[in-house]
Amino acid sequence: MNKYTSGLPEEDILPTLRALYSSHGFIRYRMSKFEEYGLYSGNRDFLGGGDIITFSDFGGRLMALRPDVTLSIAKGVRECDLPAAVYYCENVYRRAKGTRDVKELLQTGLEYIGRTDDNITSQVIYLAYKSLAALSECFVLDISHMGFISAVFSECGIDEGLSRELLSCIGEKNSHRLYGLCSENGLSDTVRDRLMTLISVSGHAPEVFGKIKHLCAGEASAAAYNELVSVYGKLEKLSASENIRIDFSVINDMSYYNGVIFDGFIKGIPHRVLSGGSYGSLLKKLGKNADAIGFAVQLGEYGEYAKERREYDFDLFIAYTESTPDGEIAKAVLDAESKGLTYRTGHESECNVRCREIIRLK
Amino acid sequence: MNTDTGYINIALPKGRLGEKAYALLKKAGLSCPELESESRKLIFTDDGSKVRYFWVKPSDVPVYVERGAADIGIAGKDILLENSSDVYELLDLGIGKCKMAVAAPSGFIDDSSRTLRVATKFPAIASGYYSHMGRNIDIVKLHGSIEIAPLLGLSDVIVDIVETGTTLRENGLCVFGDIVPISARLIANKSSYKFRHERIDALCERLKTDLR
Repeated sequence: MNKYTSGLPEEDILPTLRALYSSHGFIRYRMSKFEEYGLYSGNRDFLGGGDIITFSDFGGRLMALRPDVTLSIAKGVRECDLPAAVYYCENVYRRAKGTRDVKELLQTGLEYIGRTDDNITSQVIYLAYKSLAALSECFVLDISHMGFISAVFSECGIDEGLSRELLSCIGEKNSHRLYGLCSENGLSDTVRDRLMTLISVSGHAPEVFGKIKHLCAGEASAAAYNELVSVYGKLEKLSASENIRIDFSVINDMSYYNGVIFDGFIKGIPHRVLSGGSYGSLLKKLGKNADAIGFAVQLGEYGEYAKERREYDFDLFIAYTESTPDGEIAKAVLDAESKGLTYRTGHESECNVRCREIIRLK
Repeated sequence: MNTDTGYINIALPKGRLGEKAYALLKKAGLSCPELESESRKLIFTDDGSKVRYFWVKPSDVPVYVERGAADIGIAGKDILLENSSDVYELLDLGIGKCKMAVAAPSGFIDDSSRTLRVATKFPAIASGYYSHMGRNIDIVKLHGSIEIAPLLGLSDVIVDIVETGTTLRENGLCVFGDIVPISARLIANKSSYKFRHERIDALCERLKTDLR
Protein backbone atom coordinates (compact mmCIF):
# COMPACT_ATOMS: atom_id res chain seq x y z
CA MET A 1 0.00 0.00 0.00
CA ASN A 2 1.28 3.42 -0.95
CA LYS A 3 2.04 5.27 2.27
CA TYR A 4 0.49 8.48 0.97
CA THR A 5 -2.89 7.09 0.03
CA SER A 6 -5.87 5.72 1.81
CA GLY A 7 -5.22 2.39 0.11
CA LEU A 8 -6.13 3.20 -3.47
CA PRO A 9 -3.39 2.20 -5.92
CA GLU A 10 -2.22 5.10 -8.07
CA GLU A 11 -3.80 3.62 -11.23
CA ASP A 12 -7.24 3.59 -9.56
CA ILE A 13 -7.21 7.26 -8.56
CA LEU A 14 -8.43 8.65 -11.90
CA PRO A 15 -11.37 6.22 -12.34
CA THR A 16 -12.34 6.84 -8.68
CA LEU A 17 -12.39 10.61 -9.16
CA ARG A 18 -14.30 10.30 -12.44
CA ALA A 19 -16.90 8.14 -10.73
CA LEU A 20 -17.11 10.63 -7.84
CA TYR A 21 -17.74 13.61 -10.09
CA SER A 22 -20.18 11.89 -12.43
CA SER A 23 -22.18 10.43 -9.55
CA HIS A 24 -22.68 13.99 -8.27
CA GLY A 25 -24.17 15.31 -11.49
CA PHE A 26 -21.09 16.45 -13.42
CA ILE A 27 -20.72 15.52 -17.09
CA ARG A 28 -17.38 14.75 -18.76
CA TYR A 29 -16.06 17.65 -20.84
CA ARG A 30 -13.49 16.97 -23.53
CA MET A 31 -11.47 19.67 -25.25
CA SER A 32 -8.68 20.25 -27.69
CA LYS A 33 -5.07 20.48 -26.54
CA PHE A 34 -4.79 23.80 -28.35
CA GLU A 35 -6.44 27.17 -27.88
CA GLU A 36 -6.01 30.48 -29.60
CA TYR A 37 -3.25 32.39 -27.84
CA GLY A 38 -5.49 35.45 -27.53
CA LEU A 39 -7.56 33.75 -24.81
CA TYR A 40 -4.52 33.49 -22.57
CA SER A 41 -2.77 36.74 -23.49
CA GLY A 42 -5.86 38.66 -22.40
CA ASN A 43 -6.06 36.83 -19.08
CA ARG A 44 -2.44 36.34 -18.01
CA ASP A 45 -3.22 37.32 -14.42
CA PHE A 46 -5.80 34.50 -14.16
CA LEU A 47 -3.06 32.06 -15.14
CA GLY A 48 -0.77 33.46 -12.44
CA GLY A 49 1.79 34.55 -15.01
CA GLY A 50 4.19 32.00 -16.46
CA ASP A 51 5.21 31.23 -20.01
CA ILE A 52 2.79 29.93 -22.59
CA ILE A 53 3.94 27.57 -25.32
CA THR A 54 2.82 28.95 -28.66
CA PHE A 55 2.97 27.95 -32.29
CA SER A 56 1.42 29.03 -35.58
CA ASP A 57 -1.08 26.68 -37.14
CA PHE A 58 -1.28 26.04 -40.85
CA GLY A 59 -3.81 28.84 -41.18
CA GLY A 60 -1.41 31.36 -39.65
CA ARG A 61 -3.27 31.65 -36.33
CA LEU A 62 -1.16 31.96 -33.20
CA MET A 63 -2.13 28.99 -31.05
CA ALA A 64 -1.10 27.85 -27.59
CA LEU A 65 -0.65 24.50 -25.88
CA ARG A 66 -3.22 24.74 -23.15
CA PRO A 67 -1.71 25.89 -19.79
CA ASP A 68 -5.10 25.84 -18.06
CA VAL A 69 -8.49 24.20 -18.46
CA THR A 70 -10.83 26.59 -16.62
CA LEU A 71 -10.37 29.41 -19.13
CA SER A 72 -11.24 27.13 -22.03
CA ILE A 73 -14.40 25.89 -20.33
CA ALA A 74 -15.42 29.40 -19.26
CA LYS A 75 -14.91 30.67 -22.80
CA GLY A 76 -16.66 27.75 -24.45
CA VAL A 77 -19.79 27.53 -22.32
CA ARG A 78 -22.90 29.16 -23.82
CA GLU A 79 -25.32 31.11 -21.63
CA CYS A 80 -28.23 29.16 -23.12
CA ASP A 81 -26.65 25.94 -21.76
CA LEU A 82 -26.40 27.15 -18.17
CA PRO A 83 -26.13 25.87 -15.56
CA ALA A 84 -23.18 23.79 -16.76
CA ALA A 85 -21.71 21.20 -14.40
CA VAL A 86 -18.71 19.58 -16.05
CA TYR A 87 -15.63 17.63 -15.05
CA TYR A 88 -12.49 17.01 -17.05
CA CYS A 89 -9.29 15.03 -17.15
CA GLU A 90 -6.78 16.77 -19.36
CA ASN A 91 -3.11 17.56 -19.72
CA VAL A 92 -1.89 21.11 -19.31
CA TYR A 93 1.46 22.40 -20.49
CA ARG A 94 3.64 24.67 -18.41
CA ARG A 95 7.25 25.67 -18.14
CA ALA A 96 9.07 23.95 -15.26
CA LYS A 97 10.19 26.55 -12.73
CA GLY A 98 13.81 27.54 -13.01
CA THR A 99 14.39 25.64 -16.26
CA ARG A 100 13.63 25.92 -19.95
CA ASP A 101 11.79 22.57 -19.89
CA VAL A 102 8.14 22.20 -20.74
CA LYS A 103 6.12 19.94 -18.47
CA GLU A 104 3.02 18.02 -19.42
CA LEU A 105 0.87 17.80 -16.29
CA LEU A 106 -2.19 15.65 -15.81
CA GLN A 107 -5.01 17.58 -14.22
CA THR A 108 -8.55 16.64 -13.30
CA GLY A 109 -11.25 18.83 -11.84
CA LEU A 110 -14.66 20.27 -12.27
CA GLU A 111 -16.47 23.53 -12.95
CA TYR A 112 -19.97 24.66 -12.09
CA ILE A 113 -21.04 27.64 -14.17
CA GLY A 114 -24.40 29.31 -13.67
CA ARG A 115 -26.30 30.71 -10.71
CA THR A 116 -24.50 29.67 -7.56
CA ASP A 117 -25.55 29.73 -3.92
CA ASP A 118 -24.23 28.35 -0.63
CA ASN A 119 -25.57 24.89 -1.51
CA ILE A 120 -23.71 24.79 -4.82
CA THR A 121 -20.57 26.19 -3.20
CA SER A 122 -20.65 23.61 -0.42
CA GLN A 123 -21.30 20.80 -2.93
CA VAL A 124 -18.23 21.76 -4.95
CA ILE A 125 -16.07 22.05 -1.83
CA TYR A 126 -17.47 18.71 -0.66
CA LEU A 127 -16.24 17.13 -3.89
CA ALA A 128 -12.83 18.78 -3.41
CA TYR A 129 -12.76 17.30 0.11
CA LYS A 130 -13.69 13.85 -1.20
CA SER A 131 -11.05 14.13 -3.94
CA LEU A 132 -8.34 14.73 -1.35
CA ALA A 133 -9.69 11.89 0.82
CA ALA A 134 -9.38 9.56 -2.17
CA LEU A 135 -5.70 10.47 -2.48
CA SER A 136 -4.70 10.28 1.16
CA GLU A 137 -5.86 9.88 4.75
CA CYS A 138 -3.62 12.81 5.76
CA PHE A 139 -4.87 15.92 4.03
CA VAL A 140 -5.90 19.48 4.78
CA LEU A 141 -8.35 21.63 2.84
CA ASP A 142 -7.72 25.30 3.58
CA ILE A 143 -10.58 27.68 2.85
CA SER A 144 -10.40 31.44 2.46
CA HIS A 145 -12.65 34.14 0.99
CA MET A 146 -11.41 36.79 -1.43
CA GLY A 147 -14.58 38.81 -0.96
CA PHE A 148 -13.99 38.91 2.80
CA ILE A 149 -10.35 39.98 2.42
CA SER A 150 -11.11 42.69 -0.15
CA ALA A 151 -14.06 43.94 1.94
CA VAL A 152 -11.84 44.25 5.02
CA PHE A 153 -9.33 46.22 2.93
CA SER A 154 -12.04 48.45 1.52
CA GLU A 155 -13.69 49.05 4.90
CA CYS A 156 -10.25 50.03 6.27
CA GLY A 157 -9.95 52.63 3.49
CA ILE A 158 -7.03 50.91 1.74
CA ASP A 159 -6.49 51.72 -1.94
CA GLU A 160 -6.00 49.18 -4.73
CA GLY A 161 -2.22 49.51 -4.97
CA LEU A 162 -1.61 48.99 -1.26
CA SER A 163 -4.24 46.20 -1.24
CA ARG A 164 -2.12 44.17 -3.68
CA GLU A 165 0.98 44.50 -1.49
CA LEU A 166 -0.95 43.66 1.68
CA LEU A 167 -2.55 40.66 -0.04
CA SER A 168 0.91 39.39 -0.93
CA CYS A 169 1.97 39.69 2.74
CA ILE A 170 -1.10 37.74 3.86
CA GLY A 171 -0.36 35.06 1.28
CA GLU A 172 3.19 34.67 2.64
CA LYS A 173 2.15 34.95 6.31
CA ASN A 174 4.65 37.81 6.26
CA SER A 175 3.57 39.70 9.37
CA HIS A 176 6.76 41.74 9.64
CA ARG A 177 6.36 43.12 6.11
CA LEU A 178 2.66 43.83 6.71
CA TYR A 179 3.60 45.68 9.89
CA GLY A 180 6.16 47.72 7.92
CA LEU A 181 3.68 48.57 5.14
CA CYS A 182 1.13 49.78 7.67
CA SER A 183 3.75 51.99 9.27
CA GLU A 184 5.07 53.34 5.93
CA ASN A 185 1.54 54.20 4.79
CA GLY A 186 0.43 55.83 8.02
CA LEU A 187 -2.28 53.28 8.79
CA SER A 188 -3.64 53.43 12.32
CA ASP A 189 -2.85 50.79 14.96
CA THR A 190 -6.49 49.71 14.79
CA VAL A 191 -6.30 49.10 11.04
CA ARG A 192 -2.94 47.39 11.41
CA ASP A 193 -4.29 45.03 14.09
CA ARG A 194 -7.32 44.19 11.92
CA LEU A 195 -5.06 43.31 9.00
CA MET A 196 -2.69 41.30 11.20
CA THR A 197 -5.66 39.16 12.25
CA LEU A 198 -5.89 37.88 8.68
CA ILE A 199 -2.35 36.45 9.07
CA SER A 200 -2.39 35.37 12.69
CA VAL A 201 -5.73 33.59 12.73
CA SER A 202 -6.03 30.19 11.08
CA GLY A 203 -7.28 26.79 12.14
CA HIS A 204 -10.53 24.95 12.67
CA ALA A 205 -13.44 26.93 11.37
CA PRO A 206 -15.56 27.33 14.52
CA GLU A 207 -12.56 28.78 16.41
CA VAL A 208 -11.60 31.08 13.54
CA PHE A 209 -15.14 32.37 13.02
CA GLY A 210 -15.19 33.63 16.60
CA LYS A 211 -11.87 35.41 16.12
CA ILE A 212 -12.67 37.16 12.83
CA LYS A 213 -16.25 38.26 13.43
CA HIS A 214 -15.05 41.63 14.75
CA LEU A 215 -13.47 42.33 11.34
CA CYS A 216 -16.97 42.67 9.84
CA ALA A 217 -17.24 46.47 9.72
CA GLY A 218 -19.63 46.72 6.78
CA GLU A 219 -22.22 44.93 4.65
CA ALA A 220 -19.70 43.39 2.25
CA SER A 221 -17.51 41.80 4.93
CA ALA A 222 -20.58 40.65 6.89
CA ALA A 223 -22.04 39.02 3.77
CA ALA A 224 -18.75 37.23 3.01
CA TYR A 225 -18.42 36.12 6.64
CA ASN A 226 -21.98 34.77 6.64
CA GLU A 227 -21.27 32.88 3.41
CA LEU A 228 -18.21 31.23 4.98
CA VAL A 229 -20.18 30.26 8.09
CA SER A 230 -23.10 28.94 6.03
CA VAL A 231 -20.91 26.91 3.66
CA TYR A 232 -18.97 25.39 6.56
CA GLY A 233 -22.24 24.50 8.30
CA LYS A 234 -23.40 22.60 5.22
CA LEU A 235 -20.05 20.78 4.99
CA GLU A 236 -20.40 19.78 8.65
CA LYS A 237 -23.78 18.22 7.86
CA LEU A 238 -22.10 16.28 5.03
CA SER A 239 -19.48 15.02 7.53
CA ALA A 240 -16.82 16.79 5.48
CA SER A 241 -15.38 19.22 8.00
CA GLU A 242 -12.79 17.35 10.00
CA ASN A 243 -9.84 18.21 7.75
CA ILE A 244 -11.04 21.71 6.88
CA ARG A 245 -9.25 24.79 8.16
CA ILE A 246 -9.83 28.48 7.56
CA ASP A 247 -6.61 30.12 6.41
CA PHE A 248 -6.49 33.50 4.67
CA SER A 249 -2.99 32.78 3.32
CA VAL A 250 -4.93 31.06 0.54
CA ILE A 251 -5.18 33.99 -1.86
CA ASN A 252 -5.77 34.64 -5.52
CA ASP A 253 -6.16 37.50 -7.95
CA MET A 254 -8.91 39.81 -6.67
CA SER A 255 -9.92 40.81 -10.17
CA TYR A 256 -10.94 37.22 -11.02
CA TYR A 257 -11.79 35.54 -7.70
CA ASN A 258 -14.51 37.19 -5.70
CA GLY A 259 -15.71 34.58 -3.22
CA VAL A 260 -14.71 31.38 -1.49
CA ILE A 261 -11.32 29.96 -2.53
CA PHE A 262 -9.54 26.85 -1.28
CA ASP A 263 -6.29 24.87 -1.50
CA GLY A 264 -5.72 21.21 -0.72
CA PHE A 265 -2.52 19.73 0.73
CA ILE A 266 -1.44 16.14 1.33
CA LYS A 267 1.12 15.23 3.97
CA GLY A 268 4.43 14.40 2.34
CA ILE A 269 3.73 16.32 -0.88
CA PRO A 270 5.47 19.70 -0.73
CA HIS A 271 3.12 21.61 -3.02
CA ARG A 272 -0.63 22.03 -3.01
CA VAL A 273 -2.34 19.30 -5.00
CA LEU A 274 -5.74 20.96 -5.30
CA SER A 275 -6.81 24.54 -5.83
CA GLY A 276 -10.16 26.11 -6.54
CA GLY A 277 -12.62 28.85 -5.85
CA SER A 278 -15.41 31.13 -7.03
CA TYR A 279 -14.37 33.00 -10.14
CA GLY A 280 -17.52 34.84 -11.23
CA SER A 281 -15.45 37.92 -12.06
CA LEU A 282 -13.68 35.95 -14.82
CA LEU A 283 -17.02 35.09 -16.40
CA LYS A 284 -18.00 38.74 -16.39
CA LYS A 285 -14.68 39.67 -18.03
CA LEU A 286 -15.51 37.14 -20.74
CA GLY A 287 -18.87 38.86 -21.21
CA LYS A 288 -21.00 36.16 -19.59
CA ASN A 289 -23.68 36.87 -17.05
CA ALA A 290 -23.03 33.94 -14.69
CA ASP A 291 -21.21 32.88 -11.56
CA ALA A 292 -18.74 30.02 -11.44
CA ILE A 293 -16.94 27.79 -8.97
CA GLY A 294 -14.58 24.89 -9.54
CA PHE A 295 -11.31 23.23 -8.67
CA ALA A 296 -8.38 21.37 -10.22
CA VAL A 297 -6.44 18.41 -8.86
CA GLN A 298 -2.80 18.19 -9.93
CA LEU A 299 -2.49 14.47 -10.51
CA GLY A 300 0.95 14.90 -12.01
CA GLU A 301 2.15 16.47 -8.76
CA TYR A 302 0.50 13.71 -6.73
CA GLY A 303 1.87 10.96 -8.96
CA GLU A 304 5.47 12.16 -8.70
CA TYR A 305 5.49 11.93 -4.91
CA ALA A 306 3.18 8.96 -4.50
CA LYS A 307 5.14 6.53 -6.67
CA GLU A 308 6.16 3.45 -4.75
CA ARG A 309 9.81 2.62 -4.76
CA ARG A 310 9.72 -1.00 -5.83
CA GLU A 311 12.51 -3.47 -5.17
CA TYR A 312 11.90 -5.21 -8.48
CA ASP A 313 10.12 -4.63 -11.79
CA PHE A 314 8.59 -8.10 -12.24
CA ASP A 315 8.07 -11.17 -10.10
CA LEU A 316 9.69 -13.64 -12.51
CA PHE A 317 12.11 -13.76 -15.37
CA ILE A 318 11.46 -16.94 -17.37
CA ALA A 319 14.80 -17.68 -19.02
CA TYR A 320 14.85 -20.06 -21.99
CA THR A 321 17.52 -21.23 -24.45
CA GLU A 322 17.39 -22.28 -28.12
CA SER A 323 16.92 -25.87 -27.00
CA THR A 324 14.03 -25.24 -24.60
CA PRO A 325 10.88 -26.99 -25.87
CA ASP A 326 7.92 -24.64 -26.64
CA GLY A 327 5.76 -26.64 -24.27
CA GLU A 328 8.05 -25.81 -21.34
CA ILE A 329 7.89 -22.07 -22.04
CA ALA A 330 4.08 -22.18 -22.36
CA LYS A 331 3.81 -24.20 -19.14
CA ALA A 332 5.92 -21.67 -17.23
CA VAL A 333 3.92 -18.72 -18.62
CA LEU A 334 0.55 -20.29 -17.77
CA ASP A 335 1.81 -21.21 -14.31
CA ALA A 336 2.86 -17.59 -13.66
CA GLU A 337 -0.48 -16.26 -14.94
CA SER A 338 -2.46 -18.69 -12.79
CA LYS A 339 -0.60 -17.45 -9.72
CA GLY A 340 -1.16 -13.81 -10.67
CA LEU A 341 2.57 -13.18 -11.02
CA THR A 342 4.12 -10.65 -13.38
CA TYR A 343 6.82 -12.00 -15.65
CA ARG A 344 9.06 -11.43 -18.62
CA THR A 345 10.52 -14.09 -20.89
CA GLY A 346 13.82 -14.13 -22.75
CA HIS A 347 17.44 -15.27 -22.75
CA GLU A 348 19.04 -14.87 -19.35
CA SER A 349 21.87 -12.78 -20.85
CA GLU A 350 19.24 -10.26 -21.99
CA CYS A 351 17.64 -9.90 -18.57
CA ASN A 352 17.97 -6.14 -17.97
CA VAL A 353 15.11 -5.79 -15.49
CA ARG A 354 14.95 -6.46 -11.75
CA CYS A 355 13.11 -9.66 -10.97
CA ARG A 356 12.39 -11.35 -7.70
CA GLU A 357 13.21 -14.77 -9.16
CA ILE A 358 14.72 -16.19 -12.36
CA ILE A 359 13.23 -19.44 -13.65
CA ARG A 360 15.75 -21.17 -15.89
CA LEU A 361 14.11 -23.57 -18.35
CA LYS A 362 16.33 -26.31 -19.71
CA MET B 1 -1.76 19.06 22.45
CA ASN B 2 1.11 18.96 19.98
CA THR B 3 1.28 15.44 18.60
CA ASP B 4 4.04 16.22 16.09
CA THR B 5 6.88 13.95 17.21
CA GLY B 6 8.79 13.79 13.94
CA TYR B 7 12.09 15.41 13.08
CA ILE B 8 12.02 18.96 11.81
CA ASN B 9 14.30 19.48 8.81
CA ILE B 10 16.11 22.82 8.69
CA ALA B 11 18.20 24.14 5.77
CA LEU B 12 20.97 26.46 6.92
CA PRO B 13 23.04 28.63 4.55
CA LYS B 14 26.74 27.75 4.62
CA GLY B 15 28.88 30.50 6.08
CA ARG B 16 28.65 33.24 8.68
CA LEU B 17 24.94 33.79 8.28
CA GLY B 18 24.18 30.14 8.84
CA GLU B 19 26.33 30.07 11.97
CA LYS B 20 24.50 33.11 13.37
CA ALA B 21 21.16 31.53 12.49
CA TYR B 22 22.11 28.26 14.20
CA ALA B 23 23.03 30.22 17.34
CA LEU B 24 19.50 31.67 17.39
CA LEU B 25 17.89 28.28 16.77
CA LYS B 26 20.05 26.67 19.46
CA LYS B 27 18.93 29.32 21.94
CA ALA B 28 15.33 28.58 20.91
CA GLY B 29 15.76 24.95 21.90
CA LEU B 30 16.91 23.28 18.69
CA SER B 31 20.49 22.50 19.62
CA CYS B 32 22.53 19.95 17.71
CA PRO B 33 25.97 19.36 19.32
CA GLU B 34 27.04 17.26 16.33
CA LEU B 35 26.82 20.36 14.14
CA GLU B 36 29.14 22.30 16.47
CA SER B 37 31.97 19.81 16.07
CA GLU B 38 34.67 20.29 13.43
CA SER B 39 33.32 18.15 10.65
CA ARG B 40 32.95 18.17 6.89
CA LYS B 41 29.56 16.50 7.17
CA LEU B 42 26.64 18.40 5.72
CA ILE B 43 23.73 16.70 7.52
CA PHE B 44 23.44 16.64 11.31
CA THR B 45 20.81 15.02 13.45
CA ASP B 46 19.91 15.45 17.10
CA ASP B 47 17.52 12.91 18.59
CA GLY B 48 16.94 14.97 21.72
CA SER B 49 15.81 18.10 19.89
CA LYS B 50 14.20 16.04 17.09
CA VAL B 51 15.94 18.20 14.52
CA ARG B 52 17.92 17.59 11.36
CA TYR B 53 20.09 20.40 10.02
CA PHE B 54 21.83 20.55 6.68
CA TRP B 55 24.28 23.06 5.28
CA VAL B 56 23.43 24.18 1.77
CA LYS B 57 24.57 26.91 -0.62
CA PRO B 58 22.78 30.09 0.52
CA SER B 59 21.01 30.57 -2.81
CA ASP B 60 19.70 26.99 -2.63
CA VAL B 61 17.94 27.28 0.75
CA PRO B 62 14.59 28.38 -0.79
CA VAL B 63 14.79 25.48 -3.25
CA TYR B 64 15.18 22.92 -0.45
CA VAL B 65 12.29 24.51 1.44
CA GLU B 66 9.98 25.02 -1.54
CA ARG B 67 10.47 21.41 -2.63
CA GLY B 68 9.92 20.04 0.86
CA ALA B 69 13.39 18.60 1.49
CA ALA B 70 13.45 21.06 4.40
CA ASP B 71 10.47 22.06 6.50
CA ILE B 72 12.01 25.43 7.29
CA GLY B 73 15.13 27.33 6.31
CA ILE B 74 17.06 30.55 6.72
CA ALA B 75 17.44 32.63 3.57
CA GLY B 76 18.38 36.18 2.72
CA LYS B 77 15.58 38.43 1.48
CA ASP B 78 17.66 39.08 -1.65
CA ILE B 79 17.45 35.41 -2.64
CA LEU B 80 13.72 35.25 -1.87
CA LEU B 81 13.02 38.33 -3.99
CA GLU B 82 15.19 37.12 -6.86
CA ASN B 83 13.61 33.65 -7.03
CA SER B 84 9.97 34.45 -6.12
CA SER B 85 9.94 31.31 -4.00
CA ASP B 86 6.50 30.00 -3.06
CA VAL B 87 7.13 29.72 0.67
CA TYR B 88 5.87 31.29 3.88
CA GLU B 89 8.12 34.05 5.19
CA LEU B 90 7.43 33.76 8.88
CA LEU B 91 10.03 35.91 10.59
CA ASP B 92 12.67 38.56 9.99
CA LEU B 93 15.59 37.33 12.07
CA GLY B 94 17.28 40.73 11.93
CA ILE B 95 20.69 39.22 11.16
CA GLY B 96 22.77 39.57 8.01
CA LYS B 97 21.46 43.11 7.61
CA CYS B 98 22.44 44.93 4.45
CA LYS B 99 20.65 46.52 1.51
CA MET B 100 20.15 46.12 -2.20
CA ALA B 101 21.22 49.33 -3.91
CA VAL B 102 22.13 50.96 -7.18
CA ALA B 103 25.77 52.00 -7.29
CA ALA B 104 27.86 53.72 -9.93
CA PRO B 105 31.23 55.45 -10.32
CA SER B 106 31.42 58.72 -8.39
CA GLY B 107 30.18 61.56 -10.54
CA PHE B 108 27.97 59.32 -12.69
CA ILE B 109 25.07 61.20 -14.29
CA ASP B 110 22.22 59.15 -15.73
CA ASP B 111 21.33 60.09 -19.32
CA SER B 112 17.65 59.11 -19.54
CA SER B 113 17.73 59.36 -23.35
CA ARG B 114 19.92 56.23 -23.43
CA THR B 115 19.22 52.66 -22.36
CA LEU B 116 20.83 52.20 -18.96
CA ARG B 117 23.17 49.21 -18.78
CA VAL B 118 22.84 47.50 -15.39
CA ALA B 119 25.31 44.82 -14.23
CA THR B 120 23.96 42.58 -11.49
CA LYS B 121 23.69 39.13 -9.95
CA PHE B 122 20.01 39.91 -9.36
CA PRO B 123 18.32 40.48 -12.73
CA ALA B 124 14.76 39.99 -11.42
CA ILE B 125 15.24 42.54 -8.63
CA ALA B 126 16.92 45.03 -10.99
CA SER B 127 14.20 44.60 -13.64
CA GLY B 128 11.44 45.05 -11.06
CA TYR B 129 13.04 48.19 -9.62
CA TYR B 130 13.54 49.92 -12.94
CA SER B 131 10.18 48.86 -14.41
CA HIS B 132 8.50 50.69 -11.50
CA MET B 133 10.39 53.78 -12.60
CA GLY B 134 9.54 53.20 -16.26
CA ARG B 135 13.25 53.23 -17.09
CA ASN B 136 14.50 51.26 -20.08
CA ILE B 137 17.45 49.05 -19.10
CA ASP B 138 19.80 46.42 -20.50
CA ILE B 139 20.63 43.77 -17.89
CA VAL B 140 24.19 42.40 -17.83
CA LYS B 141 23.98 39.22 -15.73
CA LEU B 142 27.18 38.52 -13.81
CA HIS B 143 28.07 36.06 -11.07
CA GLY B 144 30.71 37.97 -9.09
CA SER B 145 33.02 41.03 -8.85
CA ILE B 146 30.11 43.17 -9.99
CA GLU B 147 31.87 46.35 -8.83
CA ILE B 148 34.36 46.38 -11.70
CA ALA B 149 31.70 46.22 -14.44
CA PRO B 150 31.16 49.99 -14.72
CA LEU B 151 34.90 50.62 -14.34
CA LEU B 152 35.61 48.49 -17.43
CA GLY B 153 32.77 49.97 -19.46
CA LEU B 154 30.64 46.80 -19.26
CA SER B 155 27.80 48.68 -17.57
CA ASP B 156 26.73 52.15 -16.45
CA VAL B 157 25.59 51.11 -12.97
CA ILE B 158 25.38 48.03 -10.79
CA VAL B 159 22.60 46.61 -8.62
CA ASP B 160 24.18 44.70 -5.78
CA ILE B 161 24.16 44.05 -2.06
CA VAL B 162 25.79 46.77 0.03
CA GLU B 163 26.82 46.11 3.60
CA THR B 164 29.34 48.64 4.89
CA GLY B 165 30.04 50.19 1.50
CA THR B 166 33.78 49.60 1.84
CA THR B 167 34.09 47.51 -1.33
CA LEU B 168 32.26 50.17 -3.32
CA ARG B 169 34.41 53.00 -1.96
CA GLU B 170 37.65 51.13 -2.56
CA ASN B 171 36.59 50.70 -6.20
CA GLY B 172 35.55 54.31 -6.67
CA LEU B 173 31.82 53.63 -6.60
CA CYS B 174 29.09 55.12 -4.46
CA VAL B 175 25.43 54.38 -3.78
CA PHE B 176 22.97 56.28 -5.96
CA GLY B 177 19.75 54.75 -4.67
CA ASP B 178 18.50 52.21 -2.14
CA ILE B 179 16.22 49.50 -3.48
CA VAL B 180 15.23 47.36 -0.51
CA PRO B 181 16.62 46.45 2.94
CA ILE B 182 17.91 42.86 3.18
CA SER B 183 18.16 40.52 6.16
CA ALA B 184 17.83 36.83 6.95
CA ARG B 185 14.31 35.42 7.02
CA LEU B 186 12.85 32.24 8.48
CA ILE B 187 10.92 30.56 5.67
CA ALA B 188 8.68 27.49 5.71
CA ASN B 189 7.35 25.05 3.17
CA LYS B 190 3.63 25.74 2.86
CA SER B 191 2.59 22.10 2.94
CA SER B 192 4.88 21.28 5.88
CA TYR B 193 3.40 24.23 7.73
CA LYS B 194 -0.14 22.89 7.27
CA PHE B 195 0.75 19.67 9.11
CA ARG B 196 3.37 20.97 11.54
CA HIS B 197 2.17 24.52 12.27
CA GLU B 198 2.02 24.02 16.04
CA ARG B 199 5.70 23.17 16.24
CA ILE B 200 6.74 25.79 13.68
CA ASP B 201 4.62 28.52 15.33
CA ALA B 202 6.08 27.63 18.73
CA LEU B 203 9.59 27.99 17.29
CA CYS B 204 8.67 31.39 15.79
CA GLU B 205 7.31 32.62 19.11
CA ARG B 206 10.45 31.50 20.89
CA LEU B 207 12.66 33.21 18.30
CA LYS B 208 10.59 36.43 18.51
CA THR B 209 11.01 36.46 22.29
CA ASP B 210 14.76 35.90 22.03
CA LEU B 211 15.08 38.61 19.36
CA ARG B 212 13.39 41.32 21.44
